[in-house]
Formats: sequence, structure tokens, C-alpha cells
Amino acid sequence: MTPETTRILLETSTVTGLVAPALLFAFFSAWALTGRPPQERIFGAAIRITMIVSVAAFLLAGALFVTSGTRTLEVPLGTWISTSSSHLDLALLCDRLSLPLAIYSSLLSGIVGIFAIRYMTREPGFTRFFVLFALFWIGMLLVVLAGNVELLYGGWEFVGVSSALLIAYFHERPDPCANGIRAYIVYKICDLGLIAAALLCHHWLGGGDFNLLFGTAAWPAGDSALTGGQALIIGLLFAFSAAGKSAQVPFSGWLPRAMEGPTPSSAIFYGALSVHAGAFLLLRIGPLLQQAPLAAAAVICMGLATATYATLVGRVQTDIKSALAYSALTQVSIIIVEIGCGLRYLALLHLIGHAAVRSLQILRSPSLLHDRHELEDATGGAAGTNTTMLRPSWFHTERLLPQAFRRFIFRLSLERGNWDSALETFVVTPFLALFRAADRIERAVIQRIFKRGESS
Amino acid sequence: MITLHAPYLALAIALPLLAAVVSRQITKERGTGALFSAATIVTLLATLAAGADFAGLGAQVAGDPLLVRLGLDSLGIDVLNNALLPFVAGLFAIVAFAQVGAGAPAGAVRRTLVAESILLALFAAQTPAWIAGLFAATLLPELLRPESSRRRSPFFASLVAAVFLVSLGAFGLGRGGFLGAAALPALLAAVFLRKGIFPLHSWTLDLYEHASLSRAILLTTPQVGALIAVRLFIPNASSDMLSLLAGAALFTAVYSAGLACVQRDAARGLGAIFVSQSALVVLGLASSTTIGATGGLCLWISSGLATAGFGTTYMALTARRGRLTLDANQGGFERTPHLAASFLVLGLASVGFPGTLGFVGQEALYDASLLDFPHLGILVALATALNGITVLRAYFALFCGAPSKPSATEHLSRHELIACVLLLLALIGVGLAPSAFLASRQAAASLLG
Repeated sequence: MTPETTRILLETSTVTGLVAPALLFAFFSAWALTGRPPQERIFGAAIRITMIVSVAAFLLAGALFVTSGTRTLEVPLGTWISTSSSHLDLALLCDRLSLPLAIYSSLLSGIVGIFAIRYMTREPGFTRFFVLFALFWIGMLLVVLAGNVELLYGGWEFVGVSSALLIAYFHERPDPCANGIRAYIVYKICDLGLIAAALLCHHWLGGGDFNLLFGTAAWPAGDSALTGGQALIIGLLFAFSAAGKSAQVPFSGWLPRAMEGPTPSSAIFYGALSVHAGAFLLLRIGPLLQQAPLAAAAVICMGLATATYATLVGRVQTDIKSALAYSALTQVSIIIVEIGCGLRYLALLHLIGHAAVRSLQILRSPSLLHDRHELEDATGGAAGTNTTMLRPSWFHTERLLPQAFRRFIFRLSLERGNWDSALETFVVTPFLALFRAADRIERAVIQRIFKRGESS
Repeated sequence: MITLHAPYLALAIALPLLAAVVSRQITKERGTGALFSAATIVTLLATLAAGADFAGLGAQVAGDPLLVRLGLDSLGIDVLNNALLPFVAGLFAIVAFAQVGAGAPAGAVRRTLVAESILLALFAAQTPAWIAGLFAATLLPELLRPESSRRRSPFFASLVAAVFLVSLGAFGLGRGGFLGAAALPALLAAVFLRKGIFPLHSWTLDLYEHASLSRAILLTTPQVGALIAVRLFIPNASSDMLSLLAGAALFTAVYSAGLACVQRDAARGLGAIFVSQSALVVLGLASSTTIGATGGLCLWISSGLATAGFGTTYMALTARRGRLTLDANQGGFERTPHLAASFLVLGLASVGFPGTLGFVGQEALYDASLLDFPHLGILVALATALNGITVLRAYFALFCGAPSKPSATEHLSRHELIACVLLLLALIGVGLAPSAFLASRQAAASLLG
């Protein structure tokens, strides 16, 4: 096979892998538009076909990638904006980071989708779930395969909006809606970091292509053209953005709340893929962190702080999905620490392994409870704890701490670190108070000038 | 003077007037509504034909053969308005088409048709005198309204003041003495007033809160203030004045997005989002770069169309449920899933969601901000982020919540659904492949110097 043929095959298979879920989204959206009741068999077949096509296409791309010895390949998608003073080409980036994660994302999305067909049977909003699920699938692939910041931002937004709407899936209750909007607010605020980073990339490098940012060296290497100071600023902005998507402190509060959504979406979003999107972003900008040790140190601190916080809070949770959410957060934070330390291959393997285990745990959690109840019914008592697993008393090193301090930590953990109330007190409330006052003043001025009541 | 091959422009301007006259003979509300929508759709087709004909001529400006024969050669089509004329006609068509079957008071329909005719003529006007005259004529539909509705209306007061300022500015342009010196400040004040730039923006929120939403949409979304800016103010303004306008527009975008977050009245919230997004139009137009002006011209059309669609879905909801607040979740998604989905998607499109035309305009604006004010460009993103949060909050408040008792169907009518789907396809289609549209807007941006 000639190099040219290999390149064309590589490009075609990568684009096919991305287009498959886009067609699935179009199919589900068109179905929703007709208002017809969902046909589970057809939906299941559509997801299976999409998964097979997408995974096969990415596997083919991966095989060609390995056999041809290619280290990195930019797949052009065409010119999106072209004016006399501005030009923006969209491109996908195939390398050792994006291709394994693309294969993995499509495989996991497909498996969870097939699981969801059975799990969501006869659920009101069945079609809505799958429209949003397909939107997430496209978004995740765009994030993973993006060759420039603009495309990454597009995928980032798709993931964010589908996540918020799926958290609020059971929207007849007020809590899921409140939690959905809370997650979306965190996403949008942290997205500002991504936009600011993109703006600065354009300002300093003349574009948002990753090839411009990291040079032509293949991942995990990179030779950025930025100065140390510029790399520090852009690195910190990307880290801020990653903190929102991966629920790092002080933005961790939304993650356990996000478990309000249906179990399959919790598994794929907060066990497997979405919660790792921040870690992926940091992996992508790994070469930049290498160039800016201060930014890498900030990433390590963020990861360590969140890991400590999540492991403490996770230990006092009383429901299985919250406990799993904090366990996931602990592992994601450790992955982020690994990235900060420059252990990028380890972090990639950790990410893939953790995503697989955690999504399985979350998918299993409802049936686990069901099984346990059945076991208790059968034995006529509480299902016992395996005492052989209890640790010997000398192992409890926390007992070395003063009791008052332990009690303080326990209470703080029960309150989930008070991060949410701190953000509300010091950020949200003053913001809303400021604009409510401004609105009151505007209304009063209009009322005074035009001499009329509120209801006129 | 180069002219179009057929009198499309004359037809587009005259047809709504003719329909207004004919509507006097129709007694049934349903018939008036059908005439309203038919007239606006044919007008839209005429403007599209005029745009296509003009593109084929390859000229900078072209007249209409009938209008030229009548001596009205100050009305024409050029690289700026060849997209704006179909845009304005499209706004009226969306609102009219979505109201088919709902019935419309004959008086309101007549005033709206007269307003469409005047607006199309204003957007076609090429000289300051005609622009000022036709801008003054936009008072006419308001004067046809009962006096009680004008007396305490901040909108009417702002319109009267803007008419005076535009007349003063257009008369003074190019002259010496006091009139010449006062022309540009007067035009700047008129742009602030008519475009709703802080601190002269309050009338817009008031209009959305107190007027009917269809009226508020048609009075604001064409963005006549932006037309005054590009035709009269920007080509003559100094860089200091443009900087002042751009700074005020950027502040308005963020401030109004903050106001939108705290609104309890859904219509007022929609107004605040519109003020914020449309302030970005002015920010782009006042930019010193072609890419900024191109972004502003893109956003002009995208924010107008998406807000009209977004507002239309809200209008459809209020027609079924009455006035709505955002205080608590009101439920009803299960009764009207299409309306809920249209509301959400058009709302996100109005704040520049990726994949829509608004995102293209914002991308161009970001590019421009790097050149004009690199450290403040993030405020553009902050404004759109806050607006996105408001859209999602409104969606949850209006459609989510405990299922209420079954009532009369809330499903979108066929007309409403077609209007929403067509609008969405246009916004997404052009958003995904924006090159031709951008090229057209870039040609228009070059007019701004």
C-alpha cells in the first residue's frame, strides 16, 4: 500500500468513525420530530450499527496508524471561515492519544447505549434520552479528535449541554432541574478558560491549531513556540477549564448532584467519559505543562487537593451513586496528578482502566441493591459484612489524629467541604444581589419618568 | 444606474402596503391572519429574488427599474442590504406564519404591514435624507395606535427622541457650524437610543415586558439602530467615537446578560438576552477591523432571526398558558415536547451555540477583539455564557416540573412547527457552511471603511 493510499484510508476511516454517531443523532432527532412512539428494537439496532461502524472505522485507522509507522496525522475537514483577514480550517488530529480514546469512547458509548435500551424500557422521555445520548457521543469524539481549540470547544459544549439536560432527565421533580442548571453554570464559567486560552493562542501564535501550539512533534512530545510566561498563562487557563469538566475543587459540588440522571447516563458521563474530559484536555496540553513547571505544579496541587477532599467525603456517603461519584473523583484527581508529574502514558492507561471499571460499577449499582434486597429477603436478615475484610486496629492510622480534629474532618466531610455554600455565599449571592439592585433601579427610573405602576 | 431585471424591490415595498389596504375589506380575523402571512411570505420571496438578481449583476449598488422610473432612485439594493432586506422580510414572515390560525386583530395586522413596508424602504434607502425621512416614518404605525398606549410608553418616547436626533444628524452631516458639529454626537446618541445601549437600553426590557411579544420582536429584532450606525454614523465617526460606542456596547452585553440572570418575568428575560446579544452587533460594527465588522453583520442577522424564533416559541407558549414567570418550574413538557425542544434549541442558537450561525459571528468577533481589545475579548464570552445559562434556566422553569392536569392540547400547530424547523435548518445550515454568507457580509463590511 502506498503512503498516499494509507493516508487517504486513514482520513476516511477517521471521518467515518465520527460521522456514524452524527447520523445516529440525526436519526433520533428526526424520530423525535415525527412524534412517533419509540421502537426499542429499531433504536437498539441503530446504536449497534453505529457502534460497530464507528469502532471498526477507528480500529482500522489505528491499525493503519501502527503498520504505517505514522506518529501523527492531521485530517482536514475543510475551511470553515475564510475572509480576507481571517482563515479557520477545521481538522481532526490522529495520534497516540486521540485514536485509542476515540476507539474507547465509541465502544463504551455503544455498550452503555445498548444497556440503556433495556434499562430505559417504557420510560417516558425514551427518545429524548437517546437524542441527548447521541449528542454526547458526537461531542466526546469531537473533544478527543479535535485538531484545534475551536473544534474542541464545539465538542466541549455538546458534552456540557447534553450532560446538563440528562442530569435533569427526571424533570418532573425540582431537584434534577436545579442540579442540571448548577452543573451547566459550572461548565459555562469554566468554559471561559478554554475560550480565553483559544483567544491567547490566536493572539500569540496566529491560530488555535494544536500543531501550532505544540509543534510538529508527535504526542506526548512537543515543542511549543510559546515563551515560558505565555505557556504558563495558557496552561493555567486550560487547567481552569479542565477543573470544571472534571469537578476539581472548588467546582466539585456538581458531580454527586449529577447522579440524579438515569443510571446509564451517569455511567457514561460521570463514570467513564465526561468526567475524564478535563483529564484528557490536560493530557493533550501535556507538552505545554512540561514547558511551564508552575502550571504543572498548579495542576498537581489541584489534583492532590481534590483527591484528598473526594476520598474523605466519599467515605461518609450513604448512597451508592454518591459514593461512586466521589470514588471516581478521587481517581480522576490522581490521574490529573500523574499528568502534572509528566507521567502521560501512565495517566492514559489509568484513565482507560478507571473509566471501564467505574462505568461498570455505576451500571451495576441499581441491580446490586436489588440483589442485596433479595438476599436479605432470602436469608431473613441483614446481609452481613465480610469481617475478614476488616482492617486490624493498628492499621487505623487516622486514630493517631486528635479526636477533635477527626470530628471536625468528619463534619466537614458530611457537609461536602462546604464548597457549594462558600461559592454561593461569596460568588453567586453578591452577583445576583448586584444585578437585582440594578434591575430595581431601572424599574424605579422608568416608573418615575413615565409615572406608571408596575402593571401598566 | 444599473437596475435589477425586474421590480422585485418595488414589489417587496409595495406589497405589504397593498395587503394593508385589502385587509380593510376582510371582516373575519382568520382571513386577516391568512392575508397577513401570505403577504409577508410573498414579500420575503420578492426580497430573496432581489438579492439573487443583485448578486448576478456583480455591481456595488443597483436600483429597481420601477422605482427609478418613478424617480425614487434613492431606494436601491447594495452589498449591505442585499442580505438585510430578506432578513427583515423574514422576521415579519416568521411572526406572521407562526400566528396563522390564531387569529389576529385587523388593526394590528394593518399597522404591522405598514411597518414592514416602511422598514423595507428604510433598509433600501441609500442617502442620509431618505434614511432620516423613512426613519421618521417608522413613527407612523405607532401614531396609528390608540393614544393611551403611547402616552406612557418608554419605547414611543425613545423613538421620538431618536427620530429627532437622526434628523438633526442627517441634516448636519457634511455641513459646517453648529449643525455640522452636532451631527455626529446626535447620531451617536440616536444609535445608543434605538439600539438599546447602556444607559439608554431600559425601554427595550420594558417593551418586552409590557407589549405583546410579537410587537416587541418586530420593533427590536430588525435592529434599526444598527442600520443608522452603518449608514450614517460609522462611516463618518472618529476613532474615539467608535471606541466609545464599542466600549459601551461591550459593557451593555455583559450588564444585560447579568440582568437576564435575575429576571422573574420570562418576556423581560428574553428582552435582556436580546439586548445583550444585539449589543455585540454594535461591538463588531464599531470595530476597526473588517473581520469585526463582518462578525457584527453576521450577528445582526443571526441574533435577530434566532431571537425571533425563540420569541415565537415563547409566544406560542403564552398563547396556550398566559403570562409566564420564571419563579418556579411550571411543568408541561410531556404535553408539548416539540415546543419545548424548539424553545431550547432556538434559545441556544440565539446565544451562539456551536454549529449555528450565531457561533460564526461570535468567532469572527473574537478574532476582531484580539486586534481591538485583546484583554477584554473574554467579556464577549462571559456575556454569551451568562445568556446561555438564562436560556437553560428559562427552559427548565417553563417546561419542566410536576406534570399538571391534562388541559387543552399544547402541541405546536403545523404552521408553528414548520416555521421553527425552517428557521432552525437555516441557522444550522448556514452555521455549518458559512463561507458564502461570510463572503457576502465581508463585502458589506468593506463599506464601513
